[in-house]
Amino acid sequence: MSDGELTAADVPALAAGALLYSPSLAPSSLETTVAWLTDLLERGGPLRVVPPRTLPPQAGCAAVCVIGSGSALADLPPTGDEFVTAVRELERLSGRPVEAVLPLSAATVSALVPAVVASQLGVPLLDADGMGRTFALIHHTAMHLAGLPVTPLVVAGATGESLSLRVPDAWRADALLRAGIDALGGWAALAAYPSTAGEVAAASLPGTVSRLVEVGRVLLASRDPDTTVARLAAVNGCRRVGRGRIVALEHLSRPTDATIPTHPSSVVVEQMGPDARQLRLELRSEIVAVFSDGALTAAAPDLITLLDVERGVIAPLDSLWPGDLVDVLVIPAHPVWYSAEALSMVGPASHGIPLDHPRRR
Amino acid sequence: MVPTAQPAEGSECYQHTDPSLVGAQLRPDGATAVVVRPAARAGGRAQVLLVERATGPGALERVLTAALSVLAAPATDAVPSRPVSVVLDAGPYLEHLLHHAGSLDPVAVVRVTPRASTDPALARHPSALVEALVSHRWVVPGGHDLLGRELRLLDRDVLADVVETLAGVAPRYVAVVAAGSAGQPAHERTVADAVQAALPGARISAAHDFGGHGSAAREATVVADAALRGAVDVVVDRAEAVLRRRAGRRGAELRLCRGDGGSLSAERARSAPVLVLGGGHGPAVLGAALLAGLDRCRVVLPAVGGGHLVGGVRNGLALVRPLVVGSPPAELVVPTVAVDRARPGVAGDRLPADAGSPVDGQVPDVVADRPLDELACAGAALARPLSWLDEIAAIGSADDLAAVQRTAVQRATALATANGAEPGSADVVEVSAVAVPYSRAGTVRVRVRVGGAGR
Repeated sequence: MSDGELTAADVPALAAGALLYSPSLAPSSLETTVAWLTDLLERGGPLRVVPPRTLPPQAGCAAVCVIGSGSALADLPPTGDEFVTAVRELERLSGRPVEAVLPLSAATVSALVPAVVASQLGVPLLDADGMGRTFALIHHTAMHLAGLPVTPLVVAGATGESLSLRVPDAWRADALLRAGIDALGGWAALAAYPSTAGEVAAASLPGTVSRLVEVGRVLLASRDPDTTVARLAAVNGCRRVGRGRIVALEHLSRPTDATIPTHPSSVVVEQMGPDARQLRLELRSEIVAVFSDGALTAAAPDLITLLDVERGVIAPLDSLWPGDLVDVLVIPAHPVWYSAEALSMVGPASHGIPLDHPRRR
Repeated sequence: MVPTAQPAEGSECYQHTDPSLVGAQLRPDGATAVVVRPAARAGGRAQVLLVERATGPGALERVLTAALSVLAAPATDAVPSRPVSVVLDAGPYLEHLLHHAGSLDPVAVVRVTPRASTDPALARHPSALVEALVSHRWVVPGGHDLLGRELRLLDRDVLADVVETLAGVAPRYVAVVAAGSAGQPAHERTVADAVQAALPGARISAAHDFGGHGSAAREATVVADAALRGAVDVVVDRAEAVLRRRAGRRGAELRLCRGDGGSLSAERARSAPVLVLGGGHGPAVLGAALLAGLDRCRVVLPAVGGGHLVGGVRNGLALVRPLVVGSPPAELVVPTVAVDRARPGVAGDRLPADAGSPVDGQVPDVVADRPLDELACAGAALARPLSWLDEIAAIGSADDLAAVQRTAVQRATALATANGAEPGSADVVEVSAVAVPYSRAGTVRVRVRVGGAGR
C-alpha cells in the first residue's frame, strides 16, 4: 500500500496482517473473501485509504464487520450484496449518506470486508478502526468508550434476510442480535456506528489498516520465527513469552457465561529448555490470558497469538493439535484499552479471571 | 533392477511366507517399485530388498512385473502364502493431471446455497486451477448452517429445471456441494439422487462424503474428486491387470496410497479418488522414518532446486494438514502429509535442536540418504489403512464432548475398515477438539485419525 491506495497486490499482506491481529481462523477460511477483494480491486482499481481527519468533518461514516463466526462464513460465503445492503439500510435509518467506511475491528475477515464494501460503494476506506484487534462484542470499541452510539445498526445475512436494531444501552446489542445471527447461518454483514468523519477522527484508533499491511509484509517476508518476532517487535512491540509444545487442549475449563460467544477452553504448552515452565493459555474466541507456572503473565486486552515454529506462520486457534511447537507472542493493545473503564469491559475479569492486569500491577 | 540388499538364503521372502510388501509410485515421467521387508519387531528397521525403475509408456506395468516376479512364486499346499500386498502411490501422477485440465474430463458443479451469488467473483471458485476443471455451474436454492439447521427449503422447482438442463448437457462427472452438508446432507443427497436419476451413467461426487468445512475447500475437493475418477479408474485397471497376470497362485491385493501417508483399498480409491491426491513427499517421509526404525522423528528430504524439506512422524504416522493444490493455493478438506521447506540456518543435515524437541526428550532427525522415489515406494509399501474425520459438533458439557469424540472415533474406525484395515485392528492415532471461535458456546471442531493393520 502506498500513497494511500490499497491495490490488489496489497491484499495478501492485508490478509496476513489480519490473521495476526486475530488468529482465530485458518487462512483458508479467508480464501473466498481474499479472492473477492482481489477481484474487486482488479476490476475497479485501487481503493483510497485515508485518515478520518482528511475528510470533511460532516462526511457520513459507518463501521462495518462480519458479526458471528468466520467459520460459518467460510462454509456459507457471501453472495455479494450483504454488506452493501447493510450500509444502504443504515443510511435509511440514520438519514445520513455513508461517504466512508471503517472496520469495526481491523482483524481477521473483518479487516477485509470493509475494503470490499468501500470498493463496491466507491467510497474511501478509513485508515482506522474501533478495536485495533478483535474483541468479542460490538460495543467493545474505542468509539463506544468515546460515547458514540453503536445503533442504529443493520445486519444482513447470506439468506437475503436482514435485521435492524436500536438500543439505548450498547451492551444490549449483542444479546439481542445473537439469536438472529444464528438464524442467518452463524454470520452476517454488520453496519453500525453511524457517525461523521469528525467523530470518527476523535474516537477511533488511527492507522490500524495500514499497520495490517505493514505487519503482513513482515509475516510474508520470512518463515524464520526468530526473524519474524524481531521484526514484529519493531512494528508493534511484539514479544515472545515462550516457546513450547502443546500438550493438552481442554474444554469448558472455566465457568461459561452467556454474554460472550464461544465456550472457555484452555491450551497447555510445555516450554523447551532447562528452565522450562508450563504455559497455560485461556481461550474464548481469542487467547485471553497466559499463565506461566500459575502466574498471570499477559491478558486481554493484550493481543496474544501463537506462531507455528516449524512453519513460521501464525497458528490458527481453530486448527491446533497436541504436539504442535509454538511461540507464544504478546503484543500490547492500544493504550486506550488499559484504562480502568476499558479493562472492566475487555480485561481478564470480563473473562472470569478476577486478577489485576499485569500491566496495571 | 537394483538389488539393494541380498535376501538371506532361506529368507521368508523366498519361502513365500514373508509378509514382504511391494510399494510403487507412478509419476508423469515414469514409475518405481520396491520390495520391502517390514521390521521384524517393534523399533526394528524395514528393509528395501529391490528397487525397479522405468520410464515411458508401460513404466508402471514393467516395474510391478519386476517386483512381483520376486515374490509371486507359486504357493505350495504345505506352506500357504498370503496374497502379495501392493500399495501404489499415484499422487504425483494425478496431481500432474490436475494441473493439465485438458487431460481430464470436465466437471459440472451444482451448488446448493440459500441464494445465488450476485458478484461474478463469488459465483466461481477462487482457485483458477479448480475453476479450469469446471465446465458448467448451477445453483439450487437450499442449504443448512454449520450445525445442520435448515436455512432455506430446497427449491424443488429450480432443482427440476437444473436437472432438465443437466440432462441436455449430459456431463459424465458431476460435483454436488451444499451449504452445511457436512452437518446435514439431506439437500445434497436429494440433489445428487435427482441428478443420478436423470443421468444414470453420470459419476457424482458429493461433498458430505468427505466432511470438513469451508465451502471453497469442500467444492475444490468434490471437483477434484469428480475430475480424477476416470484417471484413477485407468490407473487402477492397469495395476490390477498386472497383478492378475503376474501374481501367480499366491495372488496380490492392490491398495493405493492416501495423501496422508495411509492407504486405502482399490475399490475405495475408485469411489473417492481425491483421497489418493497428495502423495509423493508424504510417503517419502514415512518411508525414511520406517527404514530408520523410528516411529517418532523428523525427516529431512532434499528439495527440488536445492535446500531441504522437513516433515514429521509421530506414533508411526506422518503429521498431516489439509491438502493444498495449485498457486494461488486451493485448500481441500482431505489431509496430506505436512512437508515444509526447512528454515534458514538448516545446514543440510541437522535442524535447530529446539525445533524438534518433544517434552520428554529429543526427536531424532532422519536425513534422507536414498532417492525420493525409493523412499516414497517404501513408505507406500508400509502405509497403514487410515481414516480422517473433521467435523463440527455442539456440546453442553464435558460428558457431551466425550460422547461426540466417541461417536467420531466409531465412525472413523468404520472408515478405516472400509479403507482396508483388518476388522478389530483399528486404533485411535490422534484426536483434537478445539472451540470454534465466535460461534455459539459449545461449538467444537473435532478431528480424528484412526489407523489399522492392512488385511
